[in-house]
Amino acid sequence: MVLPATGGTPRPLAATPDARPELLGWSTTGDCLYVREASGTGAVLWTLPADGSPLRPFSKTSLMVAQATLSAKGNAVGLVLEDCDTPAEVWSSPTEHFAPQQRSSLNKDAAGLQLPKTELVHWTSPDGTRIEGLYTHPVHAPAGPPPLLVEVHGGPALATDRQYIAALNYYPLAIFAERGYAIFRPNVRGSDGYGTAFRLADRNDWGGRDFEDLESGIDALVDRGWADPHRLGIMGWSYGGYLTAWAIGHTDRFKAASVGAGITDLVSQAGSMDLPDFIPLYFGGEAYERFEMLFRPLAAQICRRHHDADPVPAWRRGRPGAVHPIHGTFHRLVPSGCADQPGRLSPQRPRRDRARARA
Amino acid sequence: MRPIAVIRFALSRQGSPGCRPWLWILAIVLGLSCPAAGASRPVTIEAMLRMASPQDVTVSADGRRLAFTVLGVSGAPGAAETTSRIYLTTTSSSGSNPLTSAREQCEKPHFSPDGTRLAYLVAGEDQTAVVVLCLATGQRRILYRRRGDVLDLAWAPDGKNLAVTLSPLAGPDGKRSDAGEADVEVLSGELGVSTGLYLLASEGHGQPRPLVTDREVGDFVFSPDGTRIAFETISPNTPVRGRRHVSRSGALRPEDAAQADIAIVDLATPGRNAAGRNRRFGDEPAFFPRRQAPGLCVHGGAGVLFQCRPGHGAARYRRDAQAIGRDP
Repeated sequence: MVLPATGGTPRPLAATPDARPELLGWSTTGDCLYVREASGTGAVLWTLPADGSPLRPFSKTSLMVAQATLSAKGNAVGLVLEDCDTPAEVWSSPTEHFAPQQRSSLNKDAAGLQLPKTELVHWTSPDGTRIEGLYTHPVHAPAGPPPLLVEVHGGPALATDRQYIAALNYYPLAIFAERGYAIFRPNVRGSDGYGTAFRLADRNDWGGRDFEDLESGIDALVDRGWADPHRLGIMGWSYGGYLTAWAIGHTDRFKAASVGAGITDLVSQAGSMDLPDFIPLYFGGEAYERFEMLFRPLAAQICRRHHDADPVPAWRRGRPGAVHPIHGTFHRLVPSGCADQPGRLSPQRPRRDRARARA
Repeated sequence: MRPIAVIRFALSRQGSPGCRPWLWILAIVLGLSCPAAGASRPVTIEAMLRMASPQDVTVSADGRRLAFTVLGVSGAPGAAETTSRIYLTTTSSSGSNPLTSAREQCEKPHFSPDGTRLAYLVAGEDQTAVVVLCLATGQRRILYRRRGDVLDLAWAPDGKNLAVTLSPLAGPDGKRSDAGEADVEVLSGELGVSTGLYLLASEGHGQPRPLVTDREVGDFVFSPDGTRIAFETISPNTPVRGRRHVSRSGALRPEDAAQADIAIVDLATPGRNAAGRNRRFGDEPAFFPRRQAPGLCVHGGAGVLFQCRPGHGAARYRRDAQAIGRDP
């Protein structure tokens, strides 16, 4: 949008594919803008003409543009580029034509690491929607289907992207792969990078179609022989923790789970998180307006199963220690009570470890 | 000893001619029995802890130099500490050098308009400092230090000032009495306002000059002539939550969503905000001068470009990528 400094009506420019561009700035000549935007499991730069005509691709590279910044004169961009098998480094390029040159060698020691192979996978969800994700093979090919660990990203308006697989992150994925696990990271409905409709498709439906996307993705991998259906684990943080908790409350297929800062109680989440409009925007109202809808996931997880009348939750019937909640005591984004409530019903009381961490 | 080292030794003049055949045989045997130099090795926790993560990349105005923050970890697993250092590189090199110590937590480097200085933030236990580093001499100066956060900073086009956004200090009245050190500025703030906009002189130790303290400030940017700052804001009287504007069906009505504005503050008269109002949420404003894209200047004056999206929350949450829609 363009707004006169003296006030007036904002005027739109051309829409970007994901409708969520990060504005970098004006070109040297002022005839276009540069924006960065998520695109599937990556992120790209677009040139946005100032006259309102359609946008043009700018970053013609197979690497993911993890970050980008424009010089004040608009003649150069600074970049962080990476991929699953390429560690993040700083690059720069002139803006007159995209020609990135690497400007740092911070991770040259990573050159000799034995990395697992990661590839893009697609499958069709039960309602016919095409879903995308990343599948990482075990480093050493097993004789049969490997055990599979599913990682669900947070957000949910974020995405699993092609970050370097051995980078420090929520979970040490490269080490899991080294130890024989395959890893599956689905971009279920609600993710970034696939357009507005896809991003908004999980409104009022956390644990609905997004869960079907996840389940059908696992089924597709099992059908390919890429996952052992009897050795499945699931993990995730924030919304990823929500869907993890939902998954183990609705199916017995997962043998272990890690719920990191998981949103297991939407009512508490709505009332006490430090993003006051987050839950209302997804569920159409405050907790007192949407109580049944917001309480249903918790009830389903810890009080009864979704499709039958089994009063004993899957969470509780799991093996001792099979569910591992991780939470920061003073976490404002996801109240720590979310970790306590399901734990009350688990066979073993959750252990409270003290860990020192910097935000 | 690695095979490659044996080969190098055999090729060197250090080994006597008589022993060179044996060295070659030894190298071949080692080569067959050991992984070659550069062969892949398994990923370990230690290797992952050594990974560096570049962030906050910034480019000098002429595009020739880049500064960035490198997040890393020092220490052994179980006793590791995070580090945050600022590095510098040029567009004529492929290497980079650290500008700051691993003992400091530094972030958000910003080149001065002439490229001679670098401003950045240093986070302490409960303090944040704005530091200006002279790139030619390496001399660094603490421009401003306070309890609480300095959230972001930007150079004025003439390099004489820095605009900063400051978070309020804890306390029921918006004030704190335990400032402690004399050089720690205590700022009072309006209740309910989480971030204010202030101006710092880039020379000397002047106190921050308040520009906007009655509303929350998100992204901000100087106009090219340095006389104005456009900023993203939500005023205290704006209903932050969208609950009154969500229908029973759960559908959002963006036309009624809580307002956020792209506002302009004139530095000559900071109390009089000439607001460029937007009924939807604004984001990332960017001035452009009149000579650029004149067709977009609806009223003939300089324009502000910004992003908007319906129904997203306060500005300070914008970077958490929690927005669920941004189509205008």
